[in-house]
Amino acid sequence: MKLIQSTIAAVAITLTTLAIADMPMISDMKVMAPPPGSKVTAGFLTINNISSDTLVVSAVSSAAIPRIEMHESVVKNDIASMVKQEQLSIPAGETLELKHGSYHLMLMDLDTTLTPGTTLSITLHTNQGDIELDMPVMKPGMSGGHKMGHDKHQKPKMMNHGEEDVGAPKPKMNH
Amino acid sequence: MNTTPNKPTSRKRYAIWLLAAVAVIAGVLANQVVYRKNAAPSDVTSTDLDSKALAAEKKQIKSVQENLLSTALFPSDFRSIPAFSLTDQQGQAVTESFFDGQWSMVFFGYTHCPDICPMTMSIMDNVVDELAKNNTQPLQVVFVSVDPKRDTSEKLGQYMAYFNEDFKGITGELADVLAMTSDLGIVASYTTIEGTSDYLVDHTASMLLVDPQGRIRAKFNAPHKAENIVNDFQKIVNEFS
Repeated sequence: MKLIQSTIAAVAITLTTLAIADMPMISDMKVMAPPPGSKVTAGFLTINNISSDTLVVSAVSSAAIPRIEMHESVVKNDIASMVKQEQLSIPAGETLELKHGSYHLMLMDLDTTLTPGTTLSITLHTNQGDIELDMPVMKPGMSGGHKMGHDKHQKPKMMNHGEEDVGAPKPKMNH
Repeated sequence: MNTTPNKPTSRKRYAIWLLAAVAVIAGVLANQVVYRKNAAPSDVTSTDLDSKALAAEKKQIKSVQENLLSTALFPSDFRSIPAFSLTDQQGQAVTESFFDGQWSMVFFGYTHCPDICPMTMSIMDNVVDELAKNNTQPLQVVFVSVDPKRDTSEKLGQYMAYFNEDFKGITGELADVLAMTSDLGIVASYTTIEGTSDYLVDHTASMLLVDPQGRIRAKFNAPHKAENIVNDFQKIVNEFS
């Protein structure tokens, strides 16, 4: 009886671990505080799909922001433009960086103030369930957010994508 | 008088050949003197001088170009800032003389741009800091709005100050802005965002470096990186100031 109990417990732990382990790992989150008067801004994060299935992000929402789209900044023939993405697909085991000059969240019709140092709650709607995130709001030049949201689905951060890698502005030095 | 034509003796023939030879040599020498005289600087046409200076400049550009990381150099006669009449972020009228007397880095964007424009301005803030640290010549950062419908002087003022109080924002009537940008080969096109009355602006991603005489000397290519811009700008001012 004792053996059965401990087996059940072990299986239960394994299942729970697997379920959590399969959730995508999110890191390097930041929302840029928009310059005064601007009604749009960008949000960035890195999504590591550690599951064995393709992760599809089909929408992004936030109670505080009327409209969030997924865009890709493209520079082609020296022309900078933005291309709306209906969804972002991340194959099993792969990582997608939403970063400056590439994929990003486009926060539109802003009617709230996004103050540096605060966080913005957003939800990624995916085929593996909703992922809730608290994204730190930063001024341009501040370093990327490594802090995790406190949602239970999120795994502790295990990745370290330096700002240098993504070609983003470096943190400003005090001198 | 009955004279018979003098039949030259072999001695005389010798002398004639000698004279002829001397004449030829003298002629050649005289010619050379004349040629040298013609080659004196005072007599050189300006076209000759220009082509010589341009050839030297071409060589200089080639050697500097090799040390640049993400920038394309132009010859000094490539293109200048055209005559224009626009407005700065204080609402003051500005013309092409705005560029006189200092090096300027010019970016063409719009304040409703969520990614590329703020990123570029933030990078330029780091660049001017770094240049100041290295005691390089100051670089004036100029943001020309290609979206004057939304970017009033006031809005540009707030926008520039958000990145750096010294950055200059220029805007004006759309036709005047487009006259300037098209003259410089800068592109701006406008796309409505589906389901909204908002629009996005596609625009040239590179920046133009303007020298203190208002001439376009280089194109800094995207993607922009502060360390590349610092490196390239320093190499260019060291060589062409």
